[in-house]
Parts: sequence; structure tokens; C-alpha cells
Amino acid sequence: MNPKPLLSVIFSAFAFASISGCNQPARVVTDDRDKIVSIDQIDVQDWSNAADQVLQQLFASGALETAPMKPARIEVTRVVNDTAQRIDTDLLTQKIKIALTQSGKVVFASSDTRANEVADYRDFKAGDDAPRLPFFVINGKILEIRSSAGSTKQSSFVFQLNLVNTVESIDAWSGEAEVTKQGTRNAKNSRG
Amino acid sequence: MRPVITRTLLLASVLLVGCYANTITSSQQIRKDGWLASHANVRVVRETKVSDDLLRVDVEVENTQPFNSRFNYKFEFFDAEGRLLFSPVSGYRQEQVAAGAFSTVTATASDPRAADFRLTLTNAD
Repeated sequence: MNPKPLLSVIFSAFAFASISGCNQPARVVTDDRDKIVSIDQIDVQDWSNAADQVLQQLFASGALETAPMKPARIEVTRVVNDTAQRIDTDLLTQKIKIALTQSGKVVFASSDTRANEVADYRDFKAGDDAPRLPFFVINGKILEIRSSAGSTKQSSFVFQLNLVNTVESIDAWSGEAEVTKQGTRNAKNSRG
Repeated sequence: MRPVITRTLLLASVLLVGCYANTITSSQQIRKDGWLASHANVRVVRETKVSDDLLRVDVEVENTQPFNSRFNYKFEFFDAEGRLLFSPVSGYRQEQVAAGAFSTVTATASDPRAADFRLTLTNAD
């Protein structure tokens, strides 16, 4: 009996099994635990984590209640990206904006030029020339700290935010969130 | 003979289901997976209001094992009618807790309609 055909069948089956084991068809990921964890960059779930941390600090501080009018007018001025990555800071500020608006404590001034023109025109027609000034502004910074030990790499991303009272020009609140990730390579998920 | 077999099968199926289903602890609001049900203990749950009307929940999770452990957790908030409230920052977070120590996980609802919560804890090791 010639063992060659049998060996060839076994080898082919093994190769097929290996290939299909490595290839993973694309799927929609909705569970954060199944999202890729990168060591050296901010992942989509990290933005949500950071926004959650700073929002909890802000709500607990009671700073939003210091405004004389409710909801208080608020504006996001600038969030500086001081990391090595090219990132859109709206990934953080939009989450904060949604949550703060949901709370009913503030209203965000629109950055839409046309909307502002129309509002100015309406004010002009009504004889109201007082500018719409925000009571609060939000500014911030995102920083990155990297380190390594042997083959283990670590990245820390620090998200700093300030809520400024524009009447007195003081920081009514300052908050900070940190996301630190460590490993030798990126992970497919965080399920362990 | 037949009732014995029936009872054995019933007991076996209950045990099997118990291994795979989420375990609901004494508090209906906290769900732990099978592994955590025997490895972690929820010590204290505090529900308070912050910023006047926002529900804040603090839960102390104790690692009952003699080794360091990691777990994933997620808070969800519901209104008085039991409807899930959307949050732009909801999702699983990961927490480390040393052997025999405890860690406090917290969440604040951004919607003042939040009246109830659910916390899901799963193993991350």
C-alpha cells in the first residue's frame, strides 16, 4: 500500500484547517470586550472610557450648578492634541457634549456659521444687540507618555479638561482621565 | 426506578444551566458571569444623587481569591418605566483588583430620568 496519497490528504486537510483558522470573516463588533486593544494608540473604546471618567468628576463637583441661569450657555473652545498621533479631539468632546446636553444643565452654543447669522438677524430685527456669551467654556489637552521594559511596552494617555467660568475668568472645575495600556503586542480583544 | 432517573436528569440539567447562565446575585441589579460568581463578592452598593438630580452608583467588588484578578464591568441605566437610557459613554471598562482586596467601580447617569441601574461583571483574566 502506497502511503503517499494518504499523507497528501492529511497534509491538505491540515493546511486547510490552518488557513481557515487564521482567516476570520469580517463582523460588526458591538461589545467593547471584543474590540482590538492597541498598545500605542487610543482605541475607540478608550475615548468613551476617558469621557466617562471626566464626566463623572464634573457631575460630582457640582460646578455646573454655579451658573445663575439654567441651562447655562457653554462652548468648547480648544482641546490640544499633544500626542504623537493625529487624532480628532471631537471623539472626546462630542461624547461630553451629548452627555452634558442630556443632563439638561447646559446648552451648547452652535458653531454653525449660518445658524449664528440667522440668530444675529433675528436679534437685530427684535432690537436686541446684546451678544450671546457663554457662561462656561471647556478647554483641554490630551497627552501621551510612553515607556518600555524589555519587550513590554506601555502607553499612557492623559485627558485633561477645564471648565472655565467666563464671568470671573476662573477654572470652575478641572478634571483628568487616564488610560494606560501595556503588553508586548496588540490584543484582539480584552476578554483575557 | 423511573422517578429516580427523572430527578437525576432534572438535577443534571439545572446544574448545567447554572454553569452557563448569568448568575443574578442578591441584588437583581448586579449580574456576574459564572467565573466571577465564585471569585468575587459585591460588598456595598450605594445609590446617591449628584449634581442635584443625576443618579450615581458606587459598587465595591471584593476579590475573594488569593491572587490578583481583572474583571470587565458595564453599567446601564433605566428610567422609571424600565426603558434603557442611551448614554454616549456606556461600555465595558476593565478593573484590576489585588488578592483579597476590593475595588470600587462607579457610574453616573447623564440623564436625570435614570431611576435604576444594572451592573454586569465578567472575567477578564
